[in-house]
Amino acid sequence: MSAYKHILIVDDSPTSRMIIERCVQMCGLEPQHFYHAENGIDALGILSESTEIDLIITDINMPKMDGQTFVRLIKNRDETRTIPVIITSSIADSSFEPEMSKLGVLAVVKKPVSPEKLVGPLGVEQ
Amino acid sequence: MKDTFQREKAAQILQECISSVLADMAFMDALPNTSPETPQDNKERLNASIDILTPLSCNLEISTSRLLCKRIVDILYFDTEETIKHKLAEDTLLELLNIIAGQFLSSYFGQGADIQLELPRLVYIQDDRNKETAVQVSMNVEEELFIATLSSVRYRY
Repeated sequence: MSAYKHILIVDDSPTSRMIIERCVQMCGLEPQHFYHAENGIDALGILSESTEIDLIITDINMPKMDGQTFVRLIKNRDETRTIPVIITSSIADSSFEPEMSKLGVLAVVKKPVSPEKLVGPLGVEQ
Repeated sequence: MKDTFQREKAAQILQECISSVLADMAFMDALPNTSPETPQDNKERLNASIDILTPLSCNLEISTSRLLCKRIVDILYFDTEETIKHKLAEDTLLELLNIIAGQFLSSYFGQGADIQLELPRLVYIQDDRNKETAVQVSMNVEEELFIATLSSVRYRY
């Protein structure tokens, strides 16, 4: 049974958001709701309106507010610091990973995202 | 320190990245194009471009037919209404470019490289005036031409 019921996906590409949503479902998770945001600012807006979100999957390279800035902000706020975060990125072993790891990000998943790459970070039994 | 940009290495890596990304995302085979065919004027093409900031300063552009993009959309969005799918071809191309660019740079420069990309964008009017092509690869993706061009390469140091 899925531990994550309300998942926020943050990515400026609708294609990417759809792929991530589908991959999460293919991992066997059955969230009640997927929330979508195009950038960090939109994501902060959704987080301010909903206290139910229990997982965030965010891209790094986005307009208006990038993923790094977004993660720094939410990890420094009492109301959002404990929400698990998975980062997606087209760049492998990027220079932002050590900082993200210190902030407690679950994993950095390299794009293209696949169910196999999400299984571990989501804590799903294979 | 000034490195020499290795064009042959870059071309090979770029080909491999295109093949890998199209296989993983769209389950399509991308092979080096051996035909002398050039893009046909009567076939609508979509072009997307991304500026690379570090460690190279350059531009990567991809060009393919709208038909191929639509096929990719059909695969990715197999359970989506046609009216919604119609709008997604361009975004799909942008996301392909984003991933290809990231993989190419990660493969070319190796682990730990400080890589920074701009956001990908669509190109509606070609302006080659100030571009110096460093590498161009032409791929055959299910009988459609897929061209990637790396241009205006400068090292930041």
